[in-house]
Formats: sequence, C-alpha cells, structure tokens
Amino acid sequence: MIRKLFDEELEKLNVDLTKMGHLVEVAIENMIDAFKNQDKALAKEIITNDRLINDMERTVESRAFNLILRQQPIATDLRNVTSALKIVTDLERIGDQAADIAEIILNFEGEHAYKTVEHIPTMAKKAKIMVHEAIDSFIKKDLSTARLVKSMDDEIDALFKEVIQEVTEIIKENSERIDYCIDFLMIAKYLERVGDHAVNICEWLEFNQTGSVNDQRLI
Amino acid sequence: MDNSIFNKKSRMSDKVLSFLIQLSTVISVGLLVVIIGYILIRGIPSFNFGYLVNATSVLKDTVGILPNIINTVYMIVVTLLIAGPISVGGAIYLNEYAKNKKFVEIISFTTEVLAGIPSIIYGLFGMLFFGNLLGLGYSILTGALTLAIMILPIISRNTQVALQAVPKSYREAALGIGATKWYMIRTVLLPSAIPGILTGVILAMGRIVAESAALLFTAGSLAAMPRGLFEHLFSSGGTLTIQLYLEMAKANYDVAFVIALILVIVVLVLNFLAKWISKRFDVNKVD
Amino acid sequence: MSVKISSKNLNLHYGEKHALKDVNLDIVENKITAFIGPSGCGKSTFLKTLNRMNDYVNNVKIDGEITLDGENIYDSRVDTTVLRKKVGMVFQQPNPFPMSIYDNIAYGPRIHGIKNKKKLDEIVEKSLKAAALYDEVADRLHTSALGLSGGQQQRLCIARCLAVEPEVILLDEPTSALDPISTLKIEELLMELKDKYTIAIVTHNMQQASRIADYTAFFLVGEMVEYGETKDIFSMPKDKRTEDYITGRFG
Repeated sequence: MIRKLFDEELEKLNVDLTKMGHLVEVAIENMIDAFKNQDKALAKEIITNDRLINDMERTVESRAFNLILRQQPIATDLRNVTSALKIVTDLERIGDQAADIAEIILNFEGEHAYKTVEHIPTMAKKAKIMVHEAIDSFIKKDLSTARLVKSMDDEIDALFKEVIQEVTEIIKENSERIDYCIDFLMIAKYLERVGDHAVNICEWLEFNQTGSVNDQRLI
Repeated sequence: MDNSIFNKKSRMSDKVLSFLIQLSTVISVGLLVVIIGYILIRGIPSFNFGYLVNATSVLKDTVGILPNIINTVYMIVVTLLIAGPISVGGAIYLNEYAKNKKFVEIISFTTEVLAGIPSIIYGLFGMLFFGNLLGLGYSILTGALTLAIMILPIISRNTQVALQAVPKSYREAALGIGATKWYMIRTVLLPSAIPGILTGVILAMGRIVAESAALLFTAGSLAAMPRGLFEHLFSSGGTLTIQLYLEMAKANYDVAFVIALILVIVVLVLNFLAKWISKRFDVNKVD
Repeated sequence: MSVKISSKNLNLHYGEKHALKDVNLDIVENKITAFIGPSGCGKSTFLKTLNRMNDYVNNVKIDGEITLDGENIYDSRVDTTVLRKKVGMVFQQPNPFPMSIYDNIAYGPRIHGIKNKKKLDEIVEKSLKAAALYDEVADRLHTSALGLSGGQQQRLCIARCLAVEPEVILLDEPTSALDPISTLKIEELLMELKDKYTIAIVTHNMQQASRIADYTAFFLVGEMVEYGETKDIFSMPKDKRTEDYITGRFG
C-alpha cells in the first residue's frame, strides 16, 4: 500500500469526526436530563463543554483543509474530506442548540416547560434519537438508517406545530404566563433545528456514498 | 584527528600511473613531430616548384611528379564515385529498411572483416578479377574499383554510426506528420548524418592517398600525362605513393622526400578538413 | 456530439505479448479525450494505433478495427500519408527537426506538395499563432528551432502538427518533460484548439487529465478498464481498479 501518510491523515480526520459526534450526542443527552430535572449545574456543564465542540470543529476543518492542500484528494477521498467539512458545521450547530437550551434552563424561574407543555418531552426524545442515529449512520456509512432519520424530520416538524398550538392555548388562558411561553417556544424551535441538522448529516452521508444529495448530482 | 578532512596523502601508485600516462602522451605526440619534422627537413631543401608542373622526361630533361598528382586525383575521384553511393546506400538500407536483425548482423560482421583484410589481398583480387577476368588490365579504373571495395566498409561504417546517432524522435516526428520513409531519410536523416558521412569520406580519401600495395598490381605505376579525360581511366597510372615507392627503390631520396612532403601535407589537410566539416555541417548545433 | 474515431474489438500483439485486449472506445469530435494508466498499460500503444505509428515496430499484429469518420484505417487501401495528415501526432520529448523554426513548420505542408513561398509564409504564421508561439519567435523564424526552450519547442511541435491542417491531434505525454508554467501554457492551448480539432492525449498527470479532458479512459495491463466523462471518472469511478489507481492506492 502506497500513500501511507495520506491514509493516516484521513484516519485521523475520521477519528476526530467520531469524537466530535460523541461529544454532541452527550451534549444532547445531558441537555434533556438537565431540562427534565431542572438541573442548573448540568446546564452549566453543557455550556462549558460546547467550547470543546467548537474547538473540535476547528480541528476537523484544519485537517480537511490541509488534506485538500497537500494531497488534492479525488474520488472517494474527495467525498470523504468534503463531507467531513460539511458535517462538522451541522454537528457544531447541534451543540450550539443544546447550549442555547441549557442557557434557558439556567435562567428558568418558576414554571417548568418539560412538564407544562405535553409535546416538548416527545420532541426532545425524537431529537435525541435523530442525532444519535444520524451520527451512527454516518460512522457506519449506513444509508438505510439515514433515510429513516430523514423521514423522522416530518414527525418532529408536526410536533413543533402541536407545541405552538399548546402554547397558544396557554397564552389564551392566562396572558401573564407569556414570559414562560416565549421560552417554551424557543426551546421547541431549537429542538426542531436539531432535527434539521440531523437530517443535514444524513444528506451528507448520501453525498459521501453517491455523490448526490436528494438525487441531485453534486460531483 | 584521524577524521579530519586535512589528511591529504600522496599515493605512490597515483604518481606512477600519472607519470606513465604523461609518458605515453609525450611518445605519441613526439613521434608525430619527429616524423613530420624529419620529412620537412629532408623534403624542403630538395623541393622545387618544377616538380609540381612537370613530368619526368628524358627527352625534355625534366623531373616531375605532375602525372602522379593527376593520377592520385583521378584515383580519389573515381574511387569515391564508385564507393560513395554504394556504401551510403547500403548503410541506409541496413539501418533503416532491413527488418531481419540476423541479416544486418551478418552484413555488419562481414564489413568489419572486410576492413581488416591486408590491402595486398585486395590488390591480388583486383588484378585477377577486374584486371584479368573483366579485361580492364593495369588501369586507373581497375585500381579505383579495387580501392572502392577497400574503402566501402569505412564509409559504410561511418554512415551507419551517423544514422544511428540521429534521434528516434526525428524519425517519429517526420513519419507522424505523413512523410514517406524515403522523404524522411532525405530531408531529416541525411542532413543530420552529413558530418558523419563526410568524415567517413575524408578518412577514405586518406586511405586512397596512402595506399600502395593494392594499387601496384591493379593501377600499375606508369607516370605519363593523360591523353584524354576518359581514355586516362583505362591507362595505367601510378599515384604519388606508388611513385614514392619507385623512387625509394631507385634510391632517389630527394624526389622521394618531396613526394613524402606532399603526401604528409595532403593527409594533414584532409584531417583538418574532416574536423572542420563535421563542425560546419552539424545541423544540431545552435548558433 | 459525433464520434470521430472508433475502436472496435482492437487487439494488438507485440510478438508473444498481448499489449491491447479488446479495446472498444469512441473518441468524440471536438472534445479532449485523455488516456490514463500506469506505465506499460497500453495507453501509448493505443494512441499510436490511431495513426498507425505502430506500423514501424517489428512483430506487431493488429486485429479488430479503428475507424476514422467510419472508414477503417487498417484497410489495405489506406494511404498512411493521407491518414497522418488527418491524424497528427505530438510526442513526449519535444522533437523539432534540426532546422530553422520556419522549415520545421513548413515541413509538413511541403510533404503534401505546397511549394509556393507566399502560401508557406501564411501557413507558418497561422500555425505559429494557433500554437501561441508566434509572438515569441516572430523575429527569429530563420534561426534553429533547437535554440528554443523546452516549452517553446513543444508548442513548435504542436504548430508543426497544425500546419498540415489535421482533424485529430494525438499527444503522447506532451508535457512530461516540461516545467509547470510551460505545462499550463500547453494545457490552455489544447483547451483552445479543441473547438477546431479532436484531441486525444496520453498523460501520467492525473490532475492534467481532470483539468483539460472531457472524457477519460483508464487502461490497465492492456485492458481498457473504464471510460467515461472525466468528472465521473474522477469523482465516482465505477471500477475499483480505477478508484485505486487515481487515488494512488495502486501496487
């Protein structure tokens, strides 16, 4: 096997990407726990750990740029490097959403969204599953699981609409609770965004395997 | 300080070898200088311009080598006219057309053997074949035909080497653009090979000028003025070298050294000419 | 999009060696087609079959056919002089003749019977301009072509090829002996020329193939493994052997 160095660099890129995926999954899990239990200490930890995720993004980007610069990858190599570059952005955004929700949890006084709004816990669970499956399918290059994740996006979108409905009802009943309601909506929106990024990851897996995204040829 | 680079040693074996090499150089250059010097010293005092414009004649009481000079020129021109086209053509065939490697090898080997045969044997063959069998007798033509066989390998060999030195890429370029093989040979190969071919020709001229043994029994030794341009071909004619031999046999050392002087000058001129031509006609040089 | 040269079940033997195995490939008009593959894979051999330069190699046996505009170039009625006027060739080492720049360019037209001085002048100027060399040599047309730099010599060879107004230009690793700047100049030139000519190029430089070629064919031990649009070959090769070769995983 020639090109040992190239393969070693590609492997490092993959390892970093896997590590970052793991950090993001942990962030989402912690976020749901903190949310469920109003655990402000855990919320703080999530915010601190987000910096690690951001650093990982830079590391992966730097590796990918240098590979492009020094090795001019083509064919499968090119798809591996470019999809890694795209996926780190989504991973980093998922981390950001987790930190954003953690921020809201930190500032919570009084009412508890997790218990008040019926559909938010369901959304959180769905988002967690989507992130886990998206990252897992990417690591395993498993296109069929990725397709399942994409189909779950409709469910989370529907749940988001339900949440809006619910929150509107709450406001109608008692307009004094509007402060909390804005937080509820924000959390729901963040969770919905997490689902979108998970879908993006699945799309980049599709690109990685076929050169196309949603049947549109990119390369 | 064993590891220092300042450890220059003088090696005995180097010194001995270097001395031997220098000695060889001195001997070879020295010999040339001595021979030429000796010929100049003995030749110049006896030199008389009259030698060049007169024939030896008892009646007119003249001594001269003009007929021999003319015979030599005849010999050179006729021999080259016969051998030149054949040897260049043969070389082109062997190098460019012949497909059968074995055949080319046999021919090349034969040519080399031909070049190593003592010239007196050519003389013997020439006399019997051209002189007796074809009935040409003692004549310049018989001599020229004999010499032609003798110099064939020289020109042919030089032409082959020159053709082989022409880069393959020239051939590809010409053929690739649609040239026929012969057009390619004529316009690209031969111009590139000209210096090599001419060098061969000049070496051959040197050989003709110097030859005596092969001519003695074929062209004879007559030193008479020509009676006609073509008639002369069929008459016996001794070249300068033959005349030199005759004069030496008669102990006419003065005349012999004058001839030697002329021959040495001719050979030197031919050699310088060879050098000059191979530079002058080198198409591959950029100026 | 029409096919200019088509190779059908082409097999070539050098004595015992089976150098090309059942090559089927269409070269598209006014496009650049690149042949890539490791040394000894048959890509240069294949290129040479396209204008019968293999005729001069001993012990070559060719089966199958190659058609130029539908006519089999291995037919016994073919005049190779005319064939090579239509299908010109540029070689790996720049090989200008040891003549003046002018005579180099005029060489081809003279073969094909153009003697008129004015006409030759025109052809020389036009060809040099087409090869993007005219400005550099206009004031020394009658000096030896061997005095040009390697890159200029190669463009001269392209100009010499253009002078006989070919329809197809075959290039056998034309930039492998050149520096990067000269290489880019030749590549740019080829991109311009493809509007008028059909170009086939053998190259060891994968980046070069991906930069300039519209179609790429990958050869391996005498076999044409994969052939398709360049962007497909370099992004999503179908054959594992192609992928391994272009990504440097070979051997």
